[in-house]
Amino acid sequence: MANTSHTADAHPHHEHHGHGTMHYVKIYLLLLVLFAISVAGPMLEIRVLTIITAFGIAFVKALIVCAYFMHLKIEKRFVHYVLYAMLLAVAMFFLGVMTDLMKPTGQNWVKDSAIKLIEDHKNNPGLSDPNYKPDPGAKESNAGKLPNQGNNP
Amino acid sequence: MAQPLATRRSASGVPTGRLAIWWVLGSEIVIFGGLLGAYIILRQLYGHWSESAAHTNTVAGAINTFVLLTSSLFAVLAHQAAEKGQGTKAAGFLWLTIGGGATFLVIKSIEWTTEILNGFTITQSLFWSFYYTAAGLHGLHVIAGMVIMAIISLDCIRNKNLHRVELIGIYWHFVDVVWIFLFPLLYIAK
Repeated sequence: MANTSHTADAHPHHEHHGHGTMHYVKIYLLLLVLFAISVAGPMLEIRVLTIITAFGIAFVKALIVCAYFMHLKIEKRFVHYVLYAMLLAVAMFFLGVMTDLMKPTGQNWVKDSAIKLIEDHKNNPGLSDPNYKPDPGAKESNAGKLPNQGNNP
Repeated sequence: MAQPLATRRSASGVPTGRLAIWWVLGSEIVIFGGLLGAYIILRQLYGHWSESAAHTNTVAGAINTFVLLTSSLFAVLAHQAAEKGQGTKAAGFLWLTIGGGATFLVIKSIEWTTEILNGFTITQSLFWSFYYTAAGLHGLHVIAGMVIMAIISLDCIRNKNLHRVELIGIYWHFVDVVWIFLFPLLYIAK
């Protein structure tokens, strides 16, 4: 037979956990509760609470999905190492780029275009207006462009 | 006929198909991680982006989060059915998951249409460039997942290759995880 069937027999690693439907439904309901908190928390408009409820809970939700829905909790260590390696690559990128981008000036350098960009935004009252809507026909300004694109047409 | 060696060997102790999907997701971590990392850095650098973020539709984002979480439940239930050898049931859950993906895309298209008609296009500012790039890239992954699930469901009905339900499920949950981070970044943080 050209297409040999694969069934659960081919995947003994998952057989032993034997979770029923209710197990997954409970996790789903927990995710919904966390989701509700992540939406409601920022409505109080307290910065610390927003960070905790929106971003902190996002991490918790992601971990729950990975652990229980993706079964990472019972996955082989090798897979964990693959994912950790990739997360490390992202962290290295993040730290490397952040140190370059976060400051427009340093001891021996100045990023003129970044300073100009920041000033442009400070001087643009439209961006401070919550009801601001751009003119659909308007030409693109320098506002919001990357620092090294600031002077491009 | 015996299956090719590549589908049977497992030097790492992880079946080849599942190992492959984890490597795919490893590369996806770098793609989305890089994109979102750059967004977070620039968002910190340019505080005024919050003015642009104030125009994103939080309700639409919240509904889509709910839809994707629900579709993830269907995906894991499809996997559970496949493990029991219930191909038809697994196919049913896969189609419910596809339905979730379709609902997500419909809401997303309505949201984007409204934003574009209001002038918030991809070239309007760097915030909107990130918004459309991140959400668009994620949307492409949703479409890819739906297409693959539809193909796998055809085998499921004939009780063939049921192990693939788990593989597409892992991918779909990852798409859900990406959205879990996109939602607060693009919709909640005003």
